[in-house]
Amino acid sequence: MLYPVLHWMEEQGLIESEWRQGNSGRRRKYYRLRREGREALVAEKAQWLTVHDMLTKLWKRQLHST
Amino acid sequence: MEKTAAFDLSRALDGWRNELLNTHALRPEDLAELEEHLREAMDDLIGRGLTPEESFLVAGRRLGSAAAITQEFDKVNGWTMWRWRIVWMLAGVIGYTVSSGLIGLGSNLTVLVGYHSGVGLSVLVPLGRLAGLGLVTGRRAAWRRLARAEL
Repeated sequence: MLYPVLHWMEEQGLIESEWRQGNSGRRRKYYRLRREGREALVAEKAQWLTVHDMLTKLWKRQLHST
Repeated sequence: MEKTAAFDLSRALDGWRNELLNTHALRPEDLAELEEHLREAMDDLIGRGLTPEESFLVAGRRLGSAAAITQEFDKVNGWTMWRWRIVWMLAGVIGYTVSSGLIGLGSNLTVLVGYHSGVGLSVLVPLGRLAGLGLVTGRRAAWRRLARAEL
């Protein structure tokens, strides 16, 4: 379920939320990415790519050697 | 077969809400958000021709059982919920101590208030630090939690 994760990210200061009245008259909670969240995303992407690059290199070498 | 009793939406929603509240895994705010989700899903189903009762059953089923929802919230909220509970528990204890102290010994009012607020602070300040610790768990944990939660 997405909601618990959203609440947790909000507590970490990565996103912020507000209740707004929709066109249907229903209240809805809207989430927005904060600057801290954007920074975290960039950092996590870089980390992910590092791991990905490393594995790609390792596995290529392994393929050639077998 | 004929229905024995008319479907009462507000009673059904009360039951749904209470079941989730009794698990103590959700804050009222979390529950309000879920309820809006449920109601919106129901509106959509009613728009597709389902009766309110049918739409309540289907939307509720899609959202998941109380046990399943609780589990999802516990994965992420564990420490947050405990902090929330502890703060309220302490507020109760301190409130009780202060008020019973005030009622019992009105003559020593100033001394007593000083003493009790001292006790209150000595408990609350370390607890505040403890609560702060929870915020420094790091972002890596965030993504681990994110990966564990079913989206």
